[in-house]
Amino acid sequence: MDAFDKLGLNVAQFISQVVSFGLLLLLLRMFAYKPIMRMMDTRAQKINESLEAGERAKLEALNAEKEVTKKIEEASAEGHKIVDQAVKAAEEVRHRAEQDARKQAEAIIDKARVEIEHEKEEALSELRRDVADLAVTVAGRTLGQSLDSKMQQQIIDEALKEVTTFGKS
Amino acid sequence: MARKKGCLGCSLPVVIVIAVVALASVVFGILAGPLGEKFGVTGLPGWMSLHLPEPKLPSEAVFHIFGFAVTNSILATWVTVIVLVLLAFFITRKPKLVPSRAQSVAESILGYIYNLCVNTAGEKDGRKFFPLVATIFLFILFNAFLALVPGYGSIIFHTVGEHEGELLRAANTDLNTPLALALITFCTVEFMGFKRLGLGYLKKFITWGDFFRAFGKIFKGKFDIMGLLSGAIMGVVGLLELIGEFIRIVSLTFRLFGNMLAGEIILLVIAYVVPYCIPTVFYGLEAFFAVIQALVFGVLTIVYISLAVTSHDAGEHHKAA
Repeated sequence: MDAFDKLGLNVAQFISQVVSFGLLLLLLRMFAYKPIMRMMDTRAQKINESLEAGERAKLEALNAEKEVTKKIEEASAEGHKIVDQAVKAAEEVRHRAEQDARKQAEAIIDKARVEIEHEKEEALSELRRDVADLAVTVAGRTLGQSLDSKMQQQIIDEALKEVTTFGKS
Repeated sequence: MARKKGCLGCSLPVVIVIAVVALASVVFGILAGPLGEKFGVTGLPGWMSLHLPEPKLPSEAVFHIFGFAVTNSILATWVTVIVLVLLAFFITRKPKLVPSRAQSVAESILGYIYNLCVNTAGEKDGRKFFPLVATIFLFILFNAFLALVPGYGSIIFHTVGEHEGELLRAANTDLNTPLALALITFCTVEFMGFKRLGLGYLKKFITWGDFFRAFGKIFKGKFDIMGLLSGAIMGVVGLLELIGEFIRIVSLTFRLFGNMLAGEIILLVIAYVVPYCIPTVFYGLEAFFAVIQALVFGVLTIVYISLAVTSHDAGEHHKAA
């Protein structure tokens, strides 16, 4: 017992230290470990959730991007189709316009030709008449006598007939 | 970025002044101590030098409650308990998901201990024994840290008519405290061993089975000398294991006690030999040792527990096969 005394060992003090430690354990358990561990667990859980949410959001963004790309491709294809159609339609319109123009031009040319023919005919007949008149007048002068108008008319008609047949042959 | 002049975050003149003051106090410390006396420096006022410490193992009673002597180390224990509980209370009063600085510090310390427990004893046991290990760690750490606070060991009280003593004494340096911790650890270990493995826990210590089996074979006419020898060795190993179990109390107690008391004595001796400036370095050293000792005690506790609750049956099966 004396040796224990010299070392400072004492049952009452020893028990006191055990009790102090036990008390500390209980109090710290109540005030420190439980709240802090709970908080750390909560945080870990929250972080995990956030990570998962982030992962999910990333996936969603990826999907959305894919969707957008697909839509853009579709729109592009659609656009191409529309342009193609427009080009085709324009081609058709142009073609038709060309045909119309050609037809019209031909019609105009035909009409002009007919008119020209007609004019020519008219001019020719006028010329014949003038030529006949002139010829008769010249012939009357040469003959030194004037022909009465009845005879004159007769000669003109004969001459015209001849000229006509001549012109036509 | 502009390069800062000077070093250690101070401008050059400040550094020089600090260095000169430090050097002067070292020189003065040497002169004021017993070395100076040897060199013939005398006549310094008495309050400037300290007397040689006389370390005492038993702690001294400060006052008595119903015949129970409240010693200075018990008083220091109470201070530690109060400080720790107050700290814990104020830090965790409003725990936040995004921690404040104090909460962050507390969390990183406890998280470190927690990871230690979980890594050693597994998820379930680690969680279960974490409070014990953490309390041991914090208790030892704060006992030692608070002992570095001025006032510990320097405030003197006078008992009536008798000698004078210190009002507060580092609790770890009183043999009762380490012994209490060691016995708590020991009891927890043995209790958990019996609780988990039942009487099978004793298999670790009573290992004479092989020996008696070989001994029994002699009567059947088979003399298995190797079996007898290895059985005897196994038996002695079990005995050693049993002794070792109790030796742990002694080793735990005296490792902590010895380290802490030695640290205390070193501080006193250094303060006696070189009273100024130099002891500061040793204060840092003691703070470091405090952390190491607290950690060692805590780690050993969780290691002993995890050893005790691990079944040895796996080895038995292996042997049978």
